[in-house]
Amino acid sequence: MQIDWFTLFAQIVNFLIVVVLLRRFLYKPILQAMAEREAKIAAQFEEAEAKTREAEEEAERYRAQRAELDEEIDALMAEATAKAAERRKAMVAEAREEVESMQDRWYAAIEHEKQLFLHRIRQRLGQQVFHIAKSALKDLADAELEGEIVDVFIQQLDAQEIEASTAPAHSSEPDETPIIVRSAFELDAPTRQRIKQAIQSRVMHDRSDGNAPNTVEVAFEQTPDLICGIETQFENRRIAWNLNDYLTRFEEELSTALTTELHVEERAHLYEQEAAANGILPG
Amino acid sequence: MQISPDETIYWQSGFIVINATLVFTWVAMILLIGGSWLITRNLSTGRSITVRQSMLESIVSMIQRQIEEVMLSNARPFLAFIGSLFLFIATLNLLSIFPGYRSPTGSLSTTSALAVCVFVVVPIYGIRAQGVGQYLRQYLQPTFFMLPFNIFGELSRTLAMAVRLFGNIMSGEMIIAILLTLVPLFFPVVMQLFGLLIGMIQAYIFAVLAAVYIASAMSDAQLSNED
Repeated sequence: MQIDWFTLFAQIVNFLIVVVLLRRFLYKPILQAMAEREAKIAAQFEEAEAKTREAEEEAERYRAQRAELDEEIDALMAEATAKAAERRKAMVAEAREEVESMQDRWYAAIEHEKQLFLHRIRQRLGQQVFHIAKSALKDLADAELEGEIVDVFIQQLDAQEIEASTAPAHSSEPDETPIIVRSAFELDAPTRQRIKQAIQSRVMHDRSDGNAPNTVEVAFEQTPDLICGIETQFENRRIAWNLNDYLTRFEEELSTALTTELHVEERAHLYEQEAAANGILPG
Repeated sequence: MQISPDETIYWQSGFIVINATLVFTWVAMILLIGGSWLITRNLSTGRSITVRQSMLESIVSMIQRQIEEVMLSNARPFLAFIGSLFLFIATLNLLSIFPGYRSPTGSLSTTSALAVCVFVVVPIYGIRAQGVGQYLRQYLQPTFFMLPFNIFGELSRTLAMAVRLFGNIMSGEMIIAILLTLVPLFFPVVMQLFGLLIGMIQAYIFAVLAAVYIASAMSDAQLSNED
């Protein structure tokens, strides 16, 4: 158990060689490789983190954009709804107005037709009544209707006497204008004379206070409007006989009947209109 | 019976003696350095690494971790010396698994050589860390009268290192040799396995003690500055 000095020295040298060579071939490259790999891994982690951050930012941006778009869509929808409602209201109002104007026109037309119809009825009826009466009188009593009418008219002129005594004299001034007698038919000369005399006696009688004229001017006019009648006006009095009064009454009754009928029709029409409006425009 | 491989002499010329200790040391050196060179020739820094590279990285990082645990400082400046001590002794011991091989650590010359290396390196690190004056002042701590004891302690611990390693390895080999004559089957195999374990432990102890001595030679402040 001795120490061999040469061996000891050689082993020291050997160990130093081992230290130097291991340092060169083992520790240095291994540590370097490890450091490099660590750096690489760190870089990769960093890169991954950066990418994650980027992706998150991108996602956030997309979310914001989508929210913005949603808001825009909502706004557009609201605007469109409001516009549609407004437009609907306007269209409904327009339609109502149109319907009302159509209704007015229709009513006006109906009224016009009614008036026209009544007028024609009146004319035709008067003529017919006149002809019937004329024929009937001729056949039954061999009398002229015109003559009978004139007779009734003269009688009325005489009958006014009683009324005149009670009626106030509206005008005391003598009237120089001729008294006009209107008739629906042509009056022959003898008839005219009779009427003239009757009027004159009438006037003379009325002006018995002394300022009565000696002669009365009488003018004759023919107007088909009177419908089978005759009339005159003087001293604020109107003396007449014609079918007008009868026809007026008849017309009134007919008009009432027509109006009632129209009201029924109108109600039915309104009901239909309302139903149509409810069907097309609910609520 | 040969106690030390020094006694097996292959060639001799004057004072130059080529004995089994040196030959087996060279074999171990070639294996250690050649293996390292082969593996580290093309290291990968990419995603996939070879098993060998992974093994070397594990060993190096393990040594580094152990040094850091013992010295409480950055292991980098001491890795080459302490790591080489461990790897060198471990390789010398592990090769004894091959028949006919005699571990050079069973020679007091080898263990003394390693202990001398530690004995020389410790003051180098100490002086480099805190300067000559400060380092030499350590021998006067806590009082001037402790100087001889400190010097003696330095020498005796170097001797202890050398003898401890030599004694353990040599005794293990002796036991196996004796057992082979008494119980030739099975039992020597178990003892051989024990021998391998002891070899590894001794390598670890030698390296750790060297680390401790270096650490004690450097002041605490210097050690913390190394971080």
